[in-house]
Amino acid sequence: MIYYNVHTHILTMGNIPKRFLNQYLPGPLADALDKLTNTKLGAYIFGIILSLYGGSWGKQYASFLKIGKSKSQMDVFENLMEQYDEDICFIALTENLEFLGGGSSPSGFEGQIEEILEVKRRYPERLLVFLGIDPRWKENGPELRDTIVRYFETKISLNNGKEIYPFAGLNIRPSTGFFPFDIRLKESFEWASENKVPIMSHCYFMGGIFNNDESYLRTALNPINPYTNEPSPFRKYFFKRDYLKWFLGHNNSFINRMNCSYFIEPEAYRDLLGYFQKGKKNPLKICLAHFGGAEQILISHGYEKGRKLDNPPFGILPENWYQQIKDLLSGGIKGLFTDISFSLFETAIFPYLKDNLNNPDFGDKILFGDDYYLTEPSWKKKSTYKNFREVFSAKNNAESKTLWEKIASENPKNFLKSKYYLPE
Amino acid sequence: MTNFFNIPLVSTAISILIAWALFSLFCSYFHEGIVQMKGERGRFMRDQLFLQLKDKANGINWASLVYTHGSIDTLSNDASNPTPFISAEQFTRTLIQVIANNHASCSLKNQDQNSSSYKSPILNQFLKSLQVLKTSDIILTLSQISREAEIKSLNDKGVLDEAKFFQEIQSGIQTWYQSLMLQVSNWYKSKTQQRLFILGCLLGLVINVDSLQLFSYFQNHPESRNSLIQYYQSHQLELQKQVDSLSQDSLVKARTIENCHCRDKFMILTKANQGKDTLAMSQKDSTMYAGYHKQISLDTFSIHSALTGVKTSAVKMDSLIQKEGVPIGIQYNYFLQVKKKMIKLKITDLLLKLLGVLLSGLAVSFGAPFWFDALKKAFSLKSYFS
Repeated sequence: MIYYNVHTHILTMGNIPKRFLNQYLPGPLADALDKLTNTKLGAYIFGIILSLYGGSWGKQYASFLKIGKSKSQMDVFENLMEQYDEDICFIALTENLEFLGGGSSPSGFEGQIEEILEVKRRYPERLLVFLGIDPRWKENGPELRDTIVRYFETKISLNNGKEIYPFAGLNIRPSTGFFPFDIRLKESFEWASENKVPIMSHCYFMGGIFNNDESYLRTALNPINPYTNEPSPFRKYFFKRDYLKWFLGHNNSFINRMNCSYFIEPEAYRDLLGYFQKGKKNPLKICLAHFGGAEQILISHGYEKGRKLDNPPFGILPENWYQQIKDLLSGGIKGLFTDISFSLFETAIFPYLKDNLNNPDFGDKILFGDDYYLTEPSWKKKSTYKNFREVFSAKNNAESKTLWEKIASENPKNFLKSKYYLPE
Repeated sequence: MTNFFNIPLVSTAISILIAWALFSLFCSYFHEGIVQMKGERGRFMRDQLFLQLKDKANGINWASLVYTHGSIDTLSNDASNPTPFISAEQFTRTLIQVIANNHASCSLKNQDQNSSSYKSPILNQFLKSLQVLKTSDIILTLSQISREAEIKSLNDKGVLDEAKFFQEIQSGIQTWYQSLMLQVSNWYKSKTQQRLFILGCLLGLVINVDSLQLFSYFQNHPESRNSLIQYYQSHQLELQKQVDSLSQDSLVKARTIENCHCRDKFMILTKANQGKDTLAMSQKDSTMYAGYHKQISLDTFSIHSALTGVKTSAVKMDSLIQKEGVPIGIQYNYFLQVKKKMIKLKITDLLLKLLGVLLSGLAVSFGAPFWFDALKKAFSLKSYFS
């Protein structure tokens, strides 16, 4: 049986904007970090320091540095395969981060695609590629859709002469500065719905990559919603100046991160999802990755862990994100999925996850993914995965299949099945 | 005329030249050690290629694809230490392949129903890619090379010779790459000069290499300057060898990039002379072979040799300095002496000290080969006069 890790990243520092770190760290510090970690020795020493004294952020960043500075996506992917059993197939998400405000990436986005397709050519059975799209990538919606169709329809040749479709799905990252209901994405989503192409999106409260350009955010928070004829609720830019951070060039990233919650909160997907439930349209297969985030899951179950602002979380609908996703899932919305990536290391969520997987309404909508390599120190990766697989492989008397089989094989197959990928 | 070199001012100037040459050699070794440890040449070359081959119009950096291509990727074992050498031949082959086979252009080519014009699939794909990709500096350059190659490949009857056409394209790209590498080499030289200046100033400040102080010292100590000149004369060959190991003919050691061309020729020569020994080669080939071989063997300069070089030159210079009492060394550090109250802090003294150190830094920025060349010329002049 093939199992799927539906949420991994294999892009390198060469594929992300040159000034990516400056988005989140004071400029001089980001530049110094970048230079210091250019050498193997520098990266090693810095990684150790961060892992030991940097807290959870430091550990993540150390892991990011260690793997992200790899030579190529091929190296990262081979490293990823080493961490897992041979029966796992990986979904690698390509990321269009060219519009993040950190400049363009050294490789260019199309260059990133070329690189990953080389990996796909070498490991066609182990790797499924999701094409990262951004409404700002092309001039307009139809052009974006046409580009996507061309990319999907053009087969790649393997060494054995066989030709295969290169992509299995789409990946959007709204936190970089657009709404999932962006008008320029509409044609592409309609095409995805027609062809049952799965879409990965990201829904982790206060987590992940975000747009740190205040002036851009102020203008981007209130676009027209093409799926409703009613005006969209007004989203006010939350603002609080921290002069020290401003002086250090940090540009109040915490504030911007909060404002980017507007883009990815579960509520922002409601109209889009509703649109594809109507008429004879196929439902849009979309995965709201991360299930709101481990913190939201724990807060929802009465844990005190979390930031002061977590409860209620920031957004147009001040409700727990995990709860919001659960409501959407149990509300009969077809094609909606979620995954548990970035939360694998949080063993406290396992009991709730088991309950959710046994839920008759949405137990078949939860997918296994780990958000490699943005999670935790890489040397722990193998044990985290092994532990998860072991816990969820325990036989359940009532069901013929284990929860592991359900979350990592059965559910992902439903999510992935399309014209471009047919699971065995 | 022999007395001309015995004029105190002239011999002082020669002594200063020797001091600058030795200090430059020391700094060059120091710099080389850092460069080797950081794998900087390879990174510099990669960064410059990334900059020049970035194709914003098509969203692709061709250099990135060249570097991640299997044939180039296998040349280095670590992302932080990319290969400092890609032959023009290898670069051309890889660039043609990545342009011909990239998915962005393949997807556009699929829409183009025109039948293939050339028998060679790679040539066909490459030229079609140039047609369908958006216009950018790199695509424009390659299109121009292709057009020129097309003209050169027409035979007397005006029919295109496909094999020659492909060869001309390759040779055009190789020539363009070589000229780009020459430019990169110049950028690297200028960067190294700046860094040698800073390094010279810093080291000069720490170990008190003050050109003004040295000048007055040598002027007042004829026995010291004679010893220094004697030292140089007796160690001339050995020092020259060290300078050669650092740099062949340039101000700084930007050898890797410069040697691309040399290596290509060497490879071609080796291939052509396979099975022959050097005696069987033509005189010209044999000389070229020896020259290239020398340059390539100099390329094997490693961190170990840099560190050994620093150590050896430091020990030798130290013993010479100790023997002659030249005011160089940490114990002569201006700030240390002020701290130990051996001298009083005076603004004029401090400014003169900084000026002297800056002069030393400036001398270092010219590079050891420059000063050793100057010395060689000066001493050949001396022997001529005598």
